Parts: sequence; structure tokens; C-alpha cells
Amino acid sequence: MSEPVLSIRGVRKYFSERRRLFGSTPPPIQAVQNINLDLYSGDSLGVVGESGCGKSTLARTIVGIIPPTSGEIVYRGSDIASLKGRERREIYKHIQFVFQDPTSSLNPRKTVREILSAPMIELLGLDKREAERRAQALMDKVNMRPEFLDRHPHEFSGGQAQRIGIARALATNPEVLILDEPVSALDVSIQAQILQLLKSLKSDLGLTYLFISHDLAVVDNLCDRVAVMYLGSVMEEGSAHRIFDNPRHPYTNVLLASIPHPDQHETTSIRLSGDLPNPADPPPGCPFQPRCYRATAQCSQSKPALIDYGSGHKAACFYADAPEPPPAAPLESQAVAETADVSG
Amino acid sequence: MSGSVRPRFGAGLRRFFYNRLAVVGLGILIAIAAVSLLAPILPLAHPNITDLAMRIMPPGTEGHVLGTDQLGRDILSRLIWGTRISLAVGLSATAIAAIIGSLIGIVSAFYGGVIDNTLMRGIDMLMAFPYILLALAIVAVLGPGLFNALIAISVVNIPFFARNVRGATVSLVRLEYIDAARLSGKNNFKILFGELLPNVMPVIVITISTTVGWMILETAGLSFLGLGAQPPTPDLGSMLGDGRSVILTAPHVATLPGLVILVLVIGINLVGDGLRDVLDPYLRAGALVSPRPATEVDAKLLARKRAEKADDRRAGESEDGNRKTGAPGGAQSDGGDSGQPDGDAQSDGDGSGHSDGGAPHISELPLSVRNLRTWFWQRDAQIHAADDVSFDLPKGRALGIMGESGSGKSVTALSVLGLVPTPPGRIMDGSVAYYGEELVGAPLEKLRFYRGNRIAYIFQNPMTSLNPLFSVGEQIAEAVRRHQPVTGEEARAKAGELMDMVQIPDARRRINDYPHQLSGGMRQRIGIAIALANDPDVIIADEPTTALDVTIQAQILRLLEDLRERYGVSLVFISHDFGVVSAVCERIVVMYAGEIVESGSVEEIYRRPLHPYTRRLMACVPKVGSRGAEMDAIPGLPPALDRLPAGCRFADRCDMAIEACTSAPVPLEEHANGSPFGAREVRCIRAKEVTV
Ligand SMILES: Nc1ncnc2c1ncn2[C@@H]1O[C@H](COP(=O)(O)OP(=O)(O)O)[C@@H](O)[C@H]1O
Ligand code: SF4
Ligand code: SF4
Ligand SMILES: [Mg+2]
Repeated sequence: MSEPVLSIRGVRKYFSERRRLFGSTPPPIQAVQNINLDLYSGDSLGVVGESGCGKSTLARTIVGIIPPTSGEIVYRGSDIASLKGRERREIYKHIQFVFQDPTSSLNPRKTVREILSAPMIELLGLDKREAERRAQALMDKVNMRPEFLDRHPHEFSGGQAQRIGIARALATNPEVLILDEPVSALDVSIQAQILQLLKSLKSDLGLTYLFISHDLAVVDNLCDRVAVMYLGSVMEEGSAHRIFDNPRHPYTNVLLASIPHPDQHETTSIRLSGDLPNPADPPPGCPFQPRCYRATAQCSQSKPALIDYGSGHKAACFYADAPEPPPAAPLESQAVAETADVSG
Repeated sequence: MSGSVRPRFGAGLRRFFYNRLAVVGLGILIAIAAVSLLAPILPLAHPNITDLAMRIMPPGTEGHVLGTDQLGRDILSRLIWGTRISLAVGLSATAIAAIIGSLIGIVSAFYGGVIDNTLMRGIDMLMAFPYILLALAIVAVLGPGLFNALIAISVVNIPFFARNVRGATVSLVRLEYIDAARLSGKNNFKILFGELLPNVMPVIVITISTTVGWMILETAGLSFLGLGAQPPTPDLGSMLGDGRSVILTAPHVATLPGLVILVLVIGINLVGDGLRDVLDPYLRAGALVSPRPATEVDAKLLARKRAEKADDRRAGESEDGNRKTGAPGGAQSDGGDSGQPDGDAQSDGDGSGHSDGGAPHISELPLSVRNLRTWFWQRDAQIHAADDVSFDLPKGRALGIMGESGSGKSVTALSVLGLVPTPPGRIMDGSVAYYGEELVGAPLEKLRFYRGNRIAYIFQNPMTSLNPLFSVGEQIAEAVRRHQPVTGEEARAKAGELMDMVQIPDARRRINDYPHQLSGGMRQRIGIAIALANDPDVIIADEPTTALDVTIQAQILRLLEDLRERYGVSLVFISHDFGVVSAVCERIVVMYAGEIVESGSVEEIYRRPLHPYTRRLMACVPKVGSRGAEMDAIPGLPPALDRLPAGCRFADRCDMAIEACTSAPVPLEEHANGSPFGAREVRCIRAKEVTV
């Protein structure tokens, strides 16, 4: 394959809390631990996982809203992880971001015109007139009426506001879009409209997506490749059809089995007991081990590496070579015994 | 600026002018400002010319309308010139304090860390002194004089601005539009002054409106003490000070400037209050209008219900026992022990063929909602949040309400026990019955008795319904004690049992945890434990798993199902997700724009949705395995609930719409029978054409 457009190499992000007045510094929250992902041109890579698994932190690290603790983010051959000022702004032209909450990501005091013109004026150096002209074209691209340029964000519904968020991200004709749960705050019928829009934009403009979501079905619909994250690490990675049709990792299996579906009433049986462990105090060995239905003694002793099982289908599990679906319902007592603490 | 700012601004202006006191204040201020601005061209005596021959003349003296002071100077002239100076100094001090203070506040909040710490410690130090002492100390160092007084007063007031503005900015800095601005290439300067400042401006204006009156008083205070305006310059404070020595012989010399100060400050404060009402989002949300303890019931409906009740009673007396309407008259005595009459179920003549061998009588239903209509009455709009909603819930069964946000699911749920906030909510029509007992228009004690006792709620976000200051154990115990005569000890024991019941691991330890120490899933279990505290007959769960992850959602759904099976609780389960509803419910009603558009068993609706909305909604939900499939999204948006079309509410998005759809309201009609506890209904004139 050709060179990736964007390469995430060994990225970690730890958040350290402030020192308490008396006593020791609390251990840092290990939000993202050693992630490696490649994004090829025209790709759409989905990152799925439950809340708190580090998806959004990863996304924000990639665009530079927050700096990584260590690791490289390589865009077209050069590391952009620690760029600042003018060089950082140069990168914003090529890599843009769509936020989860369409209303809080638009300044209530600005008109749509001001919001859409800002990147063109600041990043491309266009004058107001030219920016205005292109803002109209942008509105057209996201299927909004150009008259809406004069409006303020509060005058829009969630779906319309998200279209504006997408238009803002497209203002500089970027190559890569990082989309952080862009449809999660939307209603089902509106979500479908936005997904449709994202698909047509991708093929019309030749975009490359890194699409973050907790919704496996949405990711399966939009993405060709998928990475499943748990507790800051990638558990499984590969093409959508391999991940969703023949998952190798127990966690992916559990996620799929947890989706309630009208066809299978018994899906309400618990497939996974307990809560997500505290990311400031991850369990030893495999991160999934306290909740895993296949866990053995080995799993708490060492951390399984992400190994390629062919055709780019990678999994981080000692037993990934012989995958097994989860039992219908794990022992109830297990649910009681093994819940870990999550604070805050 | 653009056209759309104006209506917003205009609305604010209108709200300001609604406040009559604020308008009076504004009038006062305009008059005072006009007079003092015009001072140089008004036919006034020179304020500083002394005329010892005319000392201390009373008001009304020829040539001196308000009299003269002890140096024979014209008091009217001095008042006007003095007001001019007091205003100028007070306003300048306000402007200086506002600019410097806001700058400190906004910069501290934006940069955080060391900058924030340093600046705010400085502000704390300023605030540690009583401010009038601080002002005195500053003037003592700088020397007396108007300009130094101005500096002192500005410095003393900086902390108010810094603190308020910092507080407001801190919450804004974390918002995503700041990140978005950075991604748009804006530098810190542009973000601070282009993005943040316009949003904290209301807070700055509010702070100005609360402090400007004070600052004028403080200026007067310093001048009164001889530290501000120096003779002969007139200033309201120094005039007051001068008059003090003759207060007994010529009270008007001190009283007149005192009055002007009073009127000025009152005017400023009235305007300030008006501005705050307009600008403060907290006040604007109607925080000062305390909501009623129960949703208002429309007066006409209430009168009708009272009349019906009286009729029933009369009928009951004459024919002993009126079975037709079911409700046991006005009796509200038997609510305690579930009030279920021993079941000689008798199907009515008009029974419309139900699967479970005839429709259960309303007096056997833990919940029966009929033609419920709940609207929100706003100043210029009536929002039809729930219109003509009906459903029945038999004992031990689960009914799902499915619909997108704003379709009226929550309003329906909250209307059951009068929990929709009034104002603006009002129940316009319909009835809600608990085992035949009418709840719409029921007295407050009765509603209170049912709330959390016979009918309990579980909400989407347990964090907002739990009190952060009490341990979860205390909160469950409190729910128990609200309706059961038990000791604290017993309530705590019950709390432990309930926590076990909702499968909270290690309940004995967790009982002392505070809500923030628990994960979302655990908090929702606490919410369920509270709902179960008094063994309710009905649980209404409003999107209880929407905020949770799929794996945790599966746990909670399983728990709800277990509880229903084990304890025979009836469940109303609200969700926007058909999959989730189908996991717990047998029957589903689908809502759109405030109305039920379709109802039936989960199976029927899943296999053969009859309403175009349901059909297209289910088609546009992506499924795992539907890889890359084109999604046929429903175009457009649901209608605004205050401007509903005359005909079918889905018509403008419907690909089957014909002319007849838009001409008249479409009724909810029975399509077939044989559904669990209710018929198969649909609100679409073309439903019969559906063949799948
Ligand atoms: N306090 C309120 N004041 C005015 N309108 C309200 C209020 N609460 C809800 N509404 C309106 O009522 C309609 C139905 O809301 P709701 O029942 O919460 O919908 P759902 O639960 O289906 O998402 C919406 O248009 C909503 O904006
Ligand atoms: S390594 Fe062990 S604990 Fe981890 S997923 Fe595989 S079987 Fe489960
Ligand atoms: S009544 Fe007409 S417009 Fe409404 S859903 Fe049926 S076909 Fe569509
Ligand atoms: Mg709701």
C-alpha cells in the first residue's frame, strides 16, 4: 500500500491531576496508551469504544487541541505533534475537526457567515468578499440555504447546526477530517441525514475520515476500517466486515452482543459484567481481563500485543487465533463480585 | 450588523420596557443626565461665586430658587454642577474598574495555571480589606483630590469585576467553540476579544449595573470626608459635608444634595434591575417564577371534571355502583393498598376485541391515559407538546413509548402525576387514571401521595435527580421514609436491601458513597432503587439508558426486566431507540410531533410498520452488517409544535402524502385487533394500502 496520509505512532496521553494540598500527587489518568494507527488517503477509519475509553482524547491529540504526552503524529511524512503558532495553523488547513455537540461548538454571538469566514480569512488569507462567496458555496455543499448565513446558531436545530459545523471544517478544503461523535447528539432521522451528507461529501471531495463513535452500527455503515478501543488501547483493528462479522477479540464480541435488537429478545441478557476500570489505575495484564469471559491466569500477568492475524486484521488477545462468542449470560455472581471502582 | 440580531435585541428591549419600575428609573436618569449635561448653557448663577450678603437664604428666595449656602453660593447651580462632577467621577471610576477588572478576570480564566493563580491571589488581597478602609488608605497615600478619589474607588471595585468575569469566563473557556475558533486559525488575542468577550459582556453589564450606584455613593463619601472634591469645586458629597455644619439652622443646605444622591442612586438601581432581568439567563429562564407544585389543569376541564364527579356521586347514590365510568366516585381513601378492586372483570359492550379475553375494566388498570392534551403556554405561542395521547397499562406489563426528541414522550410521562412545570405547562384535556382513580385535577395531597409511592419515575440522567450532598444510602432511605412510617434505622436497612435488589455490588460499603463516586451505570441503579423504595405499582422510566454505554445499558435493561417479572411492576418505558424498547416492552406506541401515530405489539410494528413515519424511521437506523448501505433519510424536520399544520403532522416529510392528508386532522384509527393490551392503531389515511 502507499504511504499513509496520517500516522499515529505510539501516542500516549496522560492527564495528571493537580497535587493535593497534603499528600502525594494522585496517579495520572492514562487516557490514551500507546496507540498506533495509519490513515490512508480516501480511507474512512472508525474508532469505536465506550465512553471514557479515550476516543475523544485521541481525536483531540491528533488535531493538536491537546498535546500528546509522548508519541508522534505524522502527517505526510513529518511529525506535527508539537507544532505551534504559524506551523500549527498551516496544519489546520489540511486536518480539520467536527465536534460532537453542534450547539456548543458554534459561538452563539457569531453569525454563520462569521463562523464560516473565519478559517478562510485566518488560514487561507482570503479577503472578506472572497470568503463570503465561498461561504455561500459551502452552505450549498452541506445542503443549507445561503440566506442562513445571516443567522445565529440558536436559530438552528441540532442537525442544521451540525451541518454548519461540517461546513466550518470544510472551509479550507482540508484533506483529512477528524469527526468526534458527529451524529451522537442527533435524533435518529437527523442522524441518517448527516451520515448521508458525510458519505456524499467524502466521495465528492475525496476526503479522508477518522470517525469516532460509540455506535457500532453507525461505524459499520460509514467506515471501511475499524479500530476498537478499550481503556486507552486498541483491542482490535481491521476491515469493517472482518471486525463485525468475524470478531477476534472478546471485547468486540461483547460490544456486538450488547446491542439490543428486535429480532433477538434474549439480547437483554448481560454479556458483560461490571464497570469500566479506573483509567488512573488500570488492571495488570490485559486491560479487559477483569471483565473478560475468557480470561485466564496468563491474562493478568502480561499484556497481549496487537498482533496481525492476516489481511490487516489485528487483535490484542492471547486467544485471538481461536475466537469464541460470549456466553448468553455470565454468572450473576460475577457481576456482583468484579465491578471495579470508577470515581469521578 | 445582520438582520437577525435585531429581533433578539428588540425582544430584550421589549422585556425591559415591560418592567415599569425600570422605565421610571430610566426616566429619572435621563432627566438628571440631561440637566447636568446642559449645565454650561442653562441660565444658572456661577456655582462658585460667593456672596456673603446672601448667606444661607431659604429656598424660594428671589434669584436663588433653592436658596444659598453659608457662603452665599446658589444651591441650584451648585447642585447641577455638583451632580455633573459626581456623575463624571462615578462613571469614570466604573469604566476604569470595569475595564481593568474584566480584563483581569477574562485573562485569568483563559490562561489558567500560574497566571490565574497570581492574578487571583492579588485580587484576594485587595478583597481582604474592608473596601472603604482601602479607599481611605489609597487617598491617604496619594493625597486628597477628585482624581485620586477616582483612582481609589476604581481600585477598590476592580475585584468585583475580576471575580464575576472570571467566574463567567471559566465556564465558557471549556466550550467547544473556543477549540473551534483555534482550529479556524484564530490566535489567543482574537479568541479572547472576538469570541469570549462578546459572551461575557452581559455579565460585565450586570456587574456595572450593580456597582455604579455604589461607586457614586463612594465618591460622595470620600468628598464628604473632604478627601475628594476640594473647595470650591461642588460635588454632591462635598456639598453634603458643607451643609453638615448648618444642619440645625439651615437643613436645606445638606438635605438637597442628599435628596439628589438618593434619587440618582434609586434611578440607577431601578435601571440596573431592569437590565439584569433582560440579560441574566438564569432570571430569564423564569427562575423567579416559582413553579407550582403540580401542573395546572385548564379551568374548563377542571370544572367539567368536578361536574362529572358530582354526577357520578349522585348516580352512584341512586343506582348503587356506577360501573360505566369506573372511578369510585370522589373516594380517595383506598390509595394505600393499591386500591385494586377484587376482579370481577366485566367487558363493556363496546369492548373492541382484545387478545387477553376482553378489555380489562379501567378500575383494574394501574395506569390508563385517555385523550391527554398538555400544552405549554408561552407569551406568544402555544406549544402542543402532547395532543390526544391515550394508552392503557395492565398490571405487570410493559408499554414502550418511542419517538424522537420533542415528540412529547417526556411531557406525556410527566403529565401522569402533574409533574410538568407550570408555568408554562397546562393540562388542557383528558384523564389519567390509576386503578380508576382520576389523577388529572386531583388535589395536591393526593398527587403527592401517589408520587414515588404508587407511581415512580426513573430519569435519563440520575445525576440531576440525585442530590450531590447526600450519600446514596441516605437518599434511598429518605425515599422510603417519605411514604412509610419507619424509623431511620429501618429505612437504612431497607436502603441496603434495595441496593442489593438492583444488584449494586458490595452494597454495604457503597451505601455511604456520594453520587459523584459512582459510575453512570451505578448511579442509574440508585435511581432505580429509589423508584422501587415504596413497592410502586407503576414505574415510568424516561430514557433510563440513553446516557449509558451499550454494555451497561444491557445490564440495566436486564435488571428492569427482572424486576418486572419478579415483582409484577407495570412499566412505561420511554426511548428513542426501537431496539431498546423492544428489549423490554410488549406493546409500543410511536409518537411524532405530540401525537401517537401508531401502536401495536413490538412484533407487529417491527415486522409491518403501518405509518410512513415509523417505516422510514426504522429504515434509516443503521444496523450492524448493513455495510455502506445507502440510507434513505427522512428529509426535513418535524413541525414546530406551535405552528402545526391542519392535517397530518408528518405530511411535509411524507413520500405518500396526497391532498386529503393536509386538509383535515387525521384520526388515530384501529387497524386490526389482537394486539397485547390494546388494539393495533395507526394515524394515517393511507395505512390500509400498506402491504408487506
Ligand atoms: N418547560 C417547557 N417549556 C416550554 N416548552 C417545553 C417545556 N418542556 C418541554 N417543552 C416542549 O414540549 C415538546 C415535547 O417535549 P418532550 O415531551 O420533552 O419531548 P420528548 O420527551 O419526546 O423528547 C417540545 O417541543 C419541547 O420543546
Ligand atoms: S487476553 Fe485474556 S483477558 Fe484479554 S481479552 Fe484475551 S482472553 Fe480476555
Ligand atoms: S396521512 Fe398522508 S401524509 Fe400523513 S402519514 Fe399518511 S400518507 Fe403520509
Ligand atoms: Mg424526553
